Amino acid sequence: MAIIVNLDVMKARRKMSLTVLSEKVGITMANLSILKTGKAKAIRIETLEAICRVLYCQPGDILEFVPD
Amino acid sequence: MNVVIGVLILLVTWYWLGTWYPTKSDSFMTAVSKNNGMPTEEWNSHLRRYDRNVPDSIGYNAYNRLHDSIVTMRDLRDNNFLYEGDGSFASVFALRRAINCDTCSLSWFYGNGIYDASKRAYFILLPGWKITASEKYYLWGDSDIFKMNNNKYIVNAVEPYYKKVNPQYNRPADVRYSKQDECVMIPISKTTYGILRISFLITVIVFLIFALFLISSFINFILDLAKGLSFTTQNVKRLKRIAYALLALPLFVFVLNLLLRLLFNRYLEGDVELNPEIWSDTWKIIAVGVIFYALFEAFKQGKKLKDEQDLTV
Repeated sequence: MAIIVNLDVMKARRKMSLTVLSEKVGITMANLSILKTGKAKAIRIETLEAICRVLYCQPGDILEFVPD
Repeated sequence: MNVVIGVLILLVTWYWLGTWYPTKSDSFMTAVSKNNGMPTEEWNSHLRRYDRNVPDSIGYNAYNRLHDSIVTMRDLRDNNFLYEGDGSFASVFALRRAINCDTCSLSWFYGNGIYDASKRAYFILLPGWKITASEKYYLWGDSDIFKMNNNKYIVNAVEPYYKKVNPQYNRPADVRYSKQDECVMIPISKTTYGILRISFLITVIVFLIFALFLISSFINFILDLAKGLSFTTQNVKRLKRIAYALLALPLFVFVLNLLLRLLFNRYLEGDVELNPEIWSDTWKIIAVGVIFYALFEAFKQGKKLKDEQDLTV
């Protein structure tokens, strides 16, 4: 997939566990796992907003485009 | 108000039934007088027909026996065989074992006839094909023609124009014509009949198992819907299976009929056409198939949307 989700990197930088992140963002662990593994077909703007707010980052820090 | 209307409807129905039913229980003479002096259809079936070949000087039971024998013999000449056992497959192919005796009387049939293997004939029937000029395959009550050619089955054929010797002549045909089923009967040997019967049985069993499989698919689909599991891969597969099977069945029957026509081309005189009666119910199968296909498409789309929804974070 050309769009890579760098959620793990940002999570490690902020030293935040997956459980805490899911609690603070307000999405389930299963959905977070879908996002992390790159299985997700779409991401809601509000989810992105919540993640960015919790991790103090820009959407570009989480999503990255890599040509195939 | 509603009660009054209800009572009125009841009264009208009662009156209508009351005036209609007594006519069914009319006496014979009343029925005849109402029907311009002719016995009605209902009474006609109770009366034994007068037969000029049976003397009326003999007793009642003897008259009945003789009358039945003559009727049976005539039926046999008209190719209304006394079938011993039969089976047909999807109105395409049928096997028949019949007592084939043009001169046997009824008492012979009720005596040892059923067990007389020498009088048995074995046939393949093709109900999918109808003979257009059926009157040239059986000759009504003309016993002289039947005695000709050692009781062989006769077809009234026309000589090609360049021969011009005897433009119309009778010649033995390879097939017999069944008036009951309005189709050709191809004679086969006892061994072939035995082999075909077993393969026929196997085919029917395989088809039954497949039909049961389709029915179970449908029941499981309904059960899954009741459980709330609507847009699943399993359900889409089940609908696809049912839709394709239903749509393929008429096509399969059609292709099988064409193949049989090619296979038995030697026996057929060229004046056959696909029997329209067989296709009269086909549109129902196709309609149900189309509905299932639409359901399959809808569920496929539904599953796609559900997957997308599930993978949206």
